[in-house]
Amino acid sequence: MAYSEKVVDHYNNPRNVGSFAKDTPGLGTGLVGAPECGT
Amino acid sequence: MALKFPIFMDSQSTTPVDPRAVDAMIPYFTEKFGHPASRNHSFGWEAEGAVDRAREQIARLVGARDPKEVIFTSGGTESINLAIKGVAEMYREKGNHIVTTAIEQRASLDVCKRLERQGYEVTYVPVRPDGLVDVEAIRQAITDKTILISVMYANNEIGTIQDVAAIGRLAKEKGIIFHSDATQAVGKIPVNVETAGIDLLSCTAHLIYGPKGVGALYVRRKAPRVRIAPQIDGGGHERGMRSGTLPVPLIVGFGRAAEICGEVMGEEGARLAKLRDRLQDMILSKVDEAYLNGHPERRLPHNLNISFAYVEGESVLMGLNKESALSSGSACTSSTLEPSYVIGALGASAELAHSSIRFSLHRFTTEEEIEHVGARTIEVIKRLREMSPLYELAKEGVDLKSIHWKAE
Repeated sequence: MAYSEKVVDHYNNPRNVGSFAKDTPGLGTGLVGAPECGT
Repeated sequence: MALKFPIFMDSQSTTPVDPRAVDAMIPYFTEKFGHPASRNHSFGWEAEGAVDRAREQIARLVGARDPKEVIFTSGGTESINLAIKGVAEMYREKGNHIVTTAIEQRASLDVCKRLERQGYEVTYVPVRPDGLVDVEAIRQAITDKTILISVMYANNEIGTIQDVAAIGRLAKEKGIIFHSDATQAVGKIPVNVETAGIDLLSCTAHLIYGPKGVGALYVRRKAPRVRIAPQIDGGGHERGMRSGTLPVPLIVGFGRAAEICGEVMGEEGARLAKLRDRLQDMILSKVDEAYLNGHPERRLPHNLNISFAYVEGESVLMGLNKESALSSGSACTSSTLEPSYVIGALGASAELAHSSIRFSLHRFTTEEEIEHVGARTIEVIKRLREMSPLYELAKEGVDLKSIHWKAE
């Protein structure tokens, strides 16, 4: 089974990816996921 | 030569049939369609002759003394089932213990698990970080109830070649039957059941440029005479060990493919090892935190397995699959997304086991394909790492092991 168009689109054009400068005022941080699960 | 896409670099899952093997098979579908067990007419004799010729071709490739020692099956999985279950059932009075390794292919492990549910005991000997099983560890696992040692010749994921000759000597010394799953080794590197002291050897046609649906089990007839309980009952074909009408065209293709492998093995192995080394150098020199899996020298010439830290194997494959076909782990596990138990058995973390990529070259792999796949792999890894929060944290100097992850 090939990947669906939607999955391929998100792979090629990822949404909500990137970093903020960590010293930005008012910026909170949190930790989600685990590398073992691939996230 | 212009590149043709997609590039197939997954030859340890299967191989294309060599056109010469196809040519040999064709007449046996139509005009030479006889049943090899038909003893009273020329159609049967013709088919029997073709099967016997293939038996000889395969016997020669694995160094068997007598072609009668080659039993045809439907493939590697059936050969492994017949070997392990056949010995377990036949020698049940003698003992109930089997010694194998943690990195066998799924068929072997699943057969062993079934036997455990039936009252047998199985020791799964661990392997060293380079993928080699320590022969001394096998010796220590042996008990007075051990009836079988089953160790693969070469691994399907990391290509590591075991010291089968030493295991064969140990088995002989202890009077225990030795089975080797040689599906990945036969036709690729010299295999000899006599010098390696192998009593049962499993192999399959579709990994040596033969057709899918046929395999063989070598069963030693002398010193010792190995007996196995048949797992399929019927007409008593294959010396009573495997009933069922023989698929003559497939067997003819298997035999021809084996013959070709015997002829070209030396040259082909050297050529593929050189291409493989080029691919390895290209990737390891350009990508940081990329780790070679398995033994750096004792490995199949067409195999390369690398773990890329901070990216997931499937994501890498997804980035490449429009133009090339690779695999993370074996075809058996690629649908589950489970991390590779083989890489795990080497002592790698689950994250690294998740990020392994297997490149497996074949008879028709070209230098241009290697250059292309190497360059594209490097690009894809770089792109994925650029958006990987793990890579970012690591580059900031955070020790990822110090973080208490909460898996959802």
